[in-house]
Amino acid sequence: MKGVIFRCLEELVIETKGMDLWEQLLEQHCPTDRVYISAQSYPDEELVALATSVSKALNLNMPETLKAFGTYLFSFLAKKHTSIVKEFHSFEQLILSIDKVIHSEVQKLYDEPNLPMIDATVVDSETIKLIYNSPRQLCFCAEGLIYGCAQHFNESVDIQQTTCSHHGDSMCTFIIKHG
Amino acid sequence: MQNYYKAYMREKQARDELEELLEEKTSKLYALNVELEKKIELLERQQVAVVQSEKMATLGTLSAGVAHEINNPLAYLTCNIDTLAVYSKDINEFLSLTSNYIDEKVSRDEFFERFHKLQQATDIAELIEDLSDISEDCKEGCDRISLIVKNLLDFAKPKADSSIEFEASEIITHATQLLENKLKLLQLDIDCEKNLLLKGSKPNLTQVLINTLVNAAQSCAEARNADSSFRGHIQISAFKSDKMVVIKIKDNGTGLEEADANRVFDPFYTTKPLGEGTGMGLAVVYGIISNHLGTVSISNNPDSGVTLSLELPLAF
Repeated sequence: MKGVIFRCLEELVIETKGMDLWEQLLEQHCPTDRVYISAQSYPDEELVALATSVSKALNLNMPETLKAFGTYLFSFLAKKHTSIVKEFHSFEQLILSIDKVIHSEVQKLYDEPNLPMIDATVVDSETIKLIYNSPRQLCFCAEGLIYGCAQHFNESVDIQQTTCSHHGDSMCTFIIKHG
Repeated sequence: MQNYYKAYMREKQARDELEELLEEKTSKLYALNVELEKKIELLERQQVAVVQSEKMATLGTLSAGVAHEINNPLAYLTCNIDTLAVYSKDINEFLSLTSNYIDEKVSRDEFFERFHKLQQATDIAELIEDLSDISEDCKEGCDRISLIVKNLLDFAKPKADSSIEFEASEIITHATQLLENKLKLLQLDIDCEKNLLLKGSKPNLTQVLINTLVNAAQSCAEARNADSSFRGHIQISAFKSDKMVVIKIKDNGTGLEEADANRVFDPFYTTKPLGEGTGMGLAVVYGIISNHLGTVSISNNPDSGVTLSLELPLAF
């Protein structure tokens, strides 16, 4: 997993629970003197261990934690890459461009980013069907990112997950009602 | 604690700024890389165009010889067709007389009388034998023309799927067939091992041999111009060496000046008089061989002439 994701988690934990907790988490789950750098890759297990401990500290279950993290991650990334986000004028336009525009921009910046496969299609003017497929199975985080995106565009969304890889489906499907 | 937090925030700010700088540089590098890839693609396209135009130039060089090669069978084809036209008149007369006799339009006596007259004018046994010879000759002439045209087309027309496996002997045969007219005054010896598999563009590697053989033939022609008793000799040998196929083309022509030996693979460098040769022959050879991950070298022989050595990876 790319360091930018760890950096976002670091910022979220320090902002909400303080530096002490972050230091404890680093000591508990990471090699000594670990410093995260956005462009660098780090083991996925490290993120899972950190997120698990964060969910305990926040008294949330893992899906809720990942959802909250995804929401925060969107604003974190939007703040870092304002020029990319500025290209989009609506929630729908951005969601439909994840695979073709956003992921291609990520590929320009990071070496081997191992991006998930995202396929978003318009069902009707208020509904988008989004398919998420990744061996990392971070669909809850993806859901959080969608919430974060809706917040960014001041839209209210209702997300129903109709299939999920955690329940034996081959991929995760989200039906997003927005407006 | 407050101070530690401030220190952390400053360090974080530094990380953010450095990362922003890194991303900016990475983006620029990416854009430059895309630009570079486009230029490489353009260069590759131009390389293909140079090879193709060199092929056309070679075709120009070959045209007189090829025309002569086509003209020979064409001459006896024309002659045979003229003979067939005469025979066709004779056969028509025999057939028409026989048909009239079968239809009882002529009597038996009249039929035999006219048949004997025709027989006196035309020897049937000779006609039958001649017809068979003529048809064989025509077939052979058409086959020769068809082979020349096929060789020309194989050489000149770029194929879509140009990377194939083939034996080294195939391109040697192909090149020497196309140059048959240019090489006929020379002694040509070919010694090619069997099962020397190459992988790549067959027309382009044929082009390599044609360019090399044209140079060798011209070098021998120059030597003959200087000494009428000179007998030109070209030896082509192909053999396996480790995991490479080595093809050597050795001639006993005029050889190279030391200064030219270092420059013969330079584009537009020619030792031929102004207006003769494109100066791209060996540059194209170098380009094609490099594209096939091979090497090419040229050196003067101890006695006379040069040896051009090609080394190409053996296909497994």
